[in-house]
Amino acid sequence: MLEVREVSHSYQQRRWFRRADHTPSVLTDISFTIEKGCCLGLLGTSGAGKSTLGKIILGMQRPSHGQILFEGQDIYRTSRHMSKAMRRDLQVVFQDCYSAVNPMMTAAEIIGEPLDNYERLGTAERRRRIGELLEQVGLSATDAGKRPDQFSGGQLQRINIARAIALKPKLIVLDESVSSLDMVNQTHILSLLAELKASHQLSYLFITHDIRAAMTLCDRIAVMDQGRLVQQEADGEALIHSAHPAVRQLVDSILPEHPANRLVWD
Amino acid sequence: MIGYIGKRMLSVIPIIFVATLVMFALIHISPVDPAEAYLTAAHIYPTEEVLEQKRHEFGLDQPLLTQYLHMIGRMATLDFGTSYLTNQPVWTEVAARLPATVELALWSMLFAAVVSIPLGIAAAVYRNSWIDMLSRCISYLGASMPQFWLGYLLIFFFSVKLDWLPVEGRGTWQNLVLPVITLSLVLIAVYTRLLRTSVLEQMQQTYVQYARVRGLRERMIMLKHVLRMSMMPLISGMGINLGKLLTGTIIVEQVFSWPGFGRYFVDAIFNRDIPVIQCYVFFAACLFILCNLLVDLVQLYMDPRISSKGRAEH
Repeated sequence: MLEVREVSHSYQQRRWFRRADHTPSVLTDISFTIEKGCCLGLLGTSGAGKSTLGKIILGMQRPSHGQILFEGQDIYRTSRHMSKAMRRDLQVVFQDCYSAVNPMMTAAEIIGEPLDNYERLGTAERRRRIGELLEQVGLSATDAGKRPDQFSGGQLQRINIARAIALKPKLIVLDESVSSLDMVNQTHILSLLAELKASHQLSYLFITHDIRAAMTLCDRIAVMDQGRLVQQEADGEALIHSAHPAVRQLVDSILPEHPANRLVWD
Repeated sequence: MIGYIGKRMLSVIPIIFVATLVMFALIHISPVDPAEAYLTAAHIYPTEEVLEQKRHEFGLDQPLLTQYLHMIGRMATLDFGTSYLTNQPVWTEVAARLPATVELALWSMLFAAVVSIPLGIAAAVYRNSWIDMLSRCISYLGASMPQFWLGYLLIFFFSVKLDWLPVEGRGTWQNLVLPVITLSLVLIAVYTRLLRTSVLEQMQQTYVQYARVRGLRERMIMLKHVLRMSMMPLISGMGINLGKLLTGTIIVEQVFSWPGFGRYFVDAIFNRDIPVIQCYVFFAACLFILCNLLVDLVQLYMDPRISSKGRAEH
């Protein structure tokens, strides 16, 4: 479904009077695939290049080298922008739920926007679909008239998810989608995402720095460090016992259930 | 909502009270005696005897407090009396000049909006293109050129040299063209820059960039996400300017011999024609409050968050 082929990227630094020579590489030779109905976790500390990779996959940033194939089509080949049809199948849920929505729109307008953009629905049908989507993400149809400032962070992230699934996409990029929420909401949203994945046969690219969240949701986990893919595992257990220093760092950051139980890996 | 409007309308009363108090104080602090100013304007030699008579006639020989209370009392019934200078009721004189000023003000505002809104948006969307450069040139010109000079330049080229438009007066649409351009150029200058900045700011908003990722067309993004918020600073600016335009644009009216009331009120100040000044202060205070109220109502309609925040606080 999604194939990332040998993607490398460096941000061009232009200076006056001289061409940029030493541009640090943000991504180096990244390759992976996501199959239908599968969830790939992209794990890494901040600065590992995971968000840049997310941007490249979403068509926001052309990579310096390599290809992104979505359903066999190179997303950067046809034109500068991805085709509208391709965008329909590739949706996204961002980290900051508040800045991802227009603060002046109601929940119904936010969720209805992709529907208006791609489908021509009658008023009654549109309202029914919006109510249905709200209920699918665990809100009630009566919330449709509320605006973003009347929702909590967790509720608003549910609206963002409803907006992403409104068009029944094939792949959703979850860019740190639960990171800004508290623990209770994180758990709720993660189980909601797992439910939706099963019911809609969705594929996810789950970008996160939280190894536990990745292990809950993902079928396969790839770990990034300094722009490189250092380890890919289908089994979270294998990561916990990995010897790679970058993976170690992420594993060690898991808080123990009790301070006395803090794991010592030596 | 009606209660809100009513409350705002009532705020006119204290504002007019303070404004008239300041006006009254200034008139009496100034060394010029209204009776003397009247006699000078009427070419009567101000002997003590005539002065006394006039002072008594205008009620200026009474104690200040009595004069002030008398003035307030009459204002409450919207009676501004007769002008010292012309002996005509102030209302008649103002009513005769009002349509001309309102006509000029509204057309100037409309023209400024019609030009600056598309220009400002285009300058932001096609940043650093020729249209952005053009808008920048217009803004610099409009902001730096004094209106009296611009007015005379326009008259010189379009009326004297090319003979396309009349030099002065009011009546046909041709008479309107030059004064409207003169008045609106400075507005266009400010509005274009204001709108350009706020459109650029809105385009940087995260949700606007994300809208692109979600497959929304550029035109839809502009219409639904960018423009509505970008208009807010422009609306505040327009409200303030509308008040200014409606209270008379003395210089432009003078240049084009436009029969509005800017000139009338300036003369009233020179002649210490207290009833006319009083009427002007009252009129200006009401207008500014109305314009502000109008701005607030439009913004309330455009940004529903304002009202919901208000509710949360109460």
